[in-house]
Amino acid sequence: MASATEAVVLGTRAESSDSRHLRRILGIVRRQPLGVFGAIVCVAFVVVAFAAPLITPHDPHIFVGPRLGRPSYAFPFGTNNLGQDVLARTIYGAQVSLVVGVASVLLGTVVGSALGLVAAYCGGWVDSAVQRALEVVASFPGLMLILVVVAALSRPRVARDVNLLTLTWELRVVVIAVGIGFIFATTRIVRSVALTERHAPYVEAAIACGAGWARIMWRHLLPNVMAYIIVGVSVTLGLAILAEASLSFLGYGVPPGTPAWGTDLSGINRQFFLQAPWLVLAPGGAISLTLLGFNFLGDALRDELDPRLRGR
Amino acid sequence: MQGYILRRLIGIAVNMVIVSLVIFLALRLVPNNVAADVLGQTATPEQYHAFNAKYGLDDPAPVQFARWLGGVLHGDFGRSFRTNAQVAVEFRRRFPITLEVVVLSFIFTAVMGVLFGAISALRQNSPLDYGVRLFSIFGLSVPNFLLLTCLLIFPARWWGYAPRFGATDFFKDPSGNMQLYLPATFTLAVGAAATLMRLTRSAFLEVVRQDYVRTARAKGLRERAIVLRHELRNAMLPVLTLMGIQLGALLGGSIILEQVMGLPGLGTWALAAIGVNDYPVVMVVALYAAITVMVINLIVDLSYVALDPRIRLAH
Repeated sequence: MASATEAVVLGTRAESSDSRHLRRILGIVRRQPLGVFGAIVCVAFVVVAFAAPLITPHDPHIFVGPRLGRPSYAFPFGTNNLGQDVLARTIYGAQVSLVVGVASVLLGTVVGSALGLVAAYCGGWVDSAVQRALEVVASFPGLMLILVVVAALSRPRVARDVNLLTLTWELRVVVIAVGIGFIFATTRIVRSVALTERHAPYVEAAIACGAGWARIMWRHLLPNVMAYIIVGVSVTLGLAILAEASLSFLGYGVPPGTPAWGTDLSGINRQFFLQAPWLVLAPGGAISLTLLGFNFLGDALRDELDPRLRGR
Repeated sequence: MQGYILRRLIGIAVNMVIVSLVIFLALRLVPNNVAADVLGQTATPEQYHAFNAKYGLDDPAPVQFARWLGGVLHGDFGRSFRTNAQVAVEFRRRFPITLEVVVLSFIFTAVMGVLFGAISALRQNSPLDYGVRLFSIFGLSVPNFLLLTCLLIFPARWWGYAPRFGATDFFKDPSGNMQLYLPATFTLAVGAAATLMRLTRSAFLEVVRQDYVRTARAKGLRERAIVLRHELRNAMLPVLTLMGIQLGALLGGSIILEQVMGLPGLGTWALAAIGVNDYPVVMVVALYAAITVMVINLIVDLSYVALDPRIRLAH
């Protein structure tokens, strides 16, 4: 009897927990319809990047059609002045945006969070040095900083038909250049949040209990700055994709000829834009839609997760 | 106050030395063959040697840096490796173009951003508010180089109109100058204004719910006075910070605008110089950008004090 009651109680509890999750998800969908739209766009972007070789009808590198062909059934987005398929180039362009975006944000977030936590935990001269470095980096306009870093390192070369990991490695200079700015943006946020947590009673209690510095940072400080880091990541991803495209547009990102949204809008292509506007619309539309998705998703995540906005 | 400004200016000077050292190290970090970049692959070894001797590129890096710094302290910024032009002369020639781009696009940014942001918040959830929010998310998502490219293409296709190409001096040909700069800088400003609108809107929404606004309204102040003296003044604090950042970022935006419109400003100069490691040019443009950003930060901090008497300068 007792066990049956228990089973019933447990059963209802499990059920209600399921439906609570469902209700929570439905609540988010209702509160953040644009955020859901953004999430769908972002997922589609990732899927397209991964599945590019499977879904493109033509090779983006070879000359498959007439020069500057109008959009047609065979080439829905037309062809460029070399007779390459614009649709295929736009789809492959997602790969460059994805790998540079994810890798540079990863670099910025991991290094930046570590730097911010260490600066806040250690204080003293470590904190002063980090702050001075922040000041120096902050005194460059973003694009200028990226260009100087690219100038300092050698330019990337990209082989054809490589997998995404190889592509990331080949574009490491672009990743570092774009990521350096994010390191310091993350450091600034994490440091300021961690500083307020650093002297909170629970941290002092942990120190009194004999917790070491690694445990304090990993188990106590990091979880409390996590919400800020996640919100930062979603916004930063869009910025990283934009930065890579701007860099490639200026001719200092991926090498010419590589299918990327920034490169396809620059260089020799520009001479043909007036007679063949589809050359602008396909990569331009792709990057705008992707950034729109990340902006919507970032806004929604901030509303849902940012501790400063919670409960409003 | 004067003591604070003096300390900040000394801080800027110290930062400038660090910044120039960092850029110099960055550009000399990877051993690269400037002579080959500038002269091309067809030059003979003798030409390379002559080139390196002329610009002192064979000396050790510390010697090169000391020579550069010594020159700068005497007002001599050296010569460009690429064109052999005097950097200081070239800078003076190109500076007005970039200045005009940055100033005009900043004015567009500030006016559109604050005005539409404030209106959007004061008429929250009206069609106007939705319009502004839609525009701002659009402005955030369309890259400025794409918008500028579209400015060159679509009006030309549809109406046979194109903004004038190439730089004309404002004082020689004001209308020709404006025909190029106004559409271009407005287009560049769209993205920055979108960000500013969003921030202004949320700053205003924060302020209009404050007790002192209710008090002001209860005292029977006119709406105009409430908005301008109580709401705007308080909402401006975060907005000013962002405007400072955006003024600096527009220096980067100017690189893109100059590149798209073919303007011979500082941006295109730096861009060409970076490609061949022409560091006297890169250093000067980067240092100019850094000084500008730091001075803007100082001005923003000082204007905080002017706007909000509760804020005191740190000692």
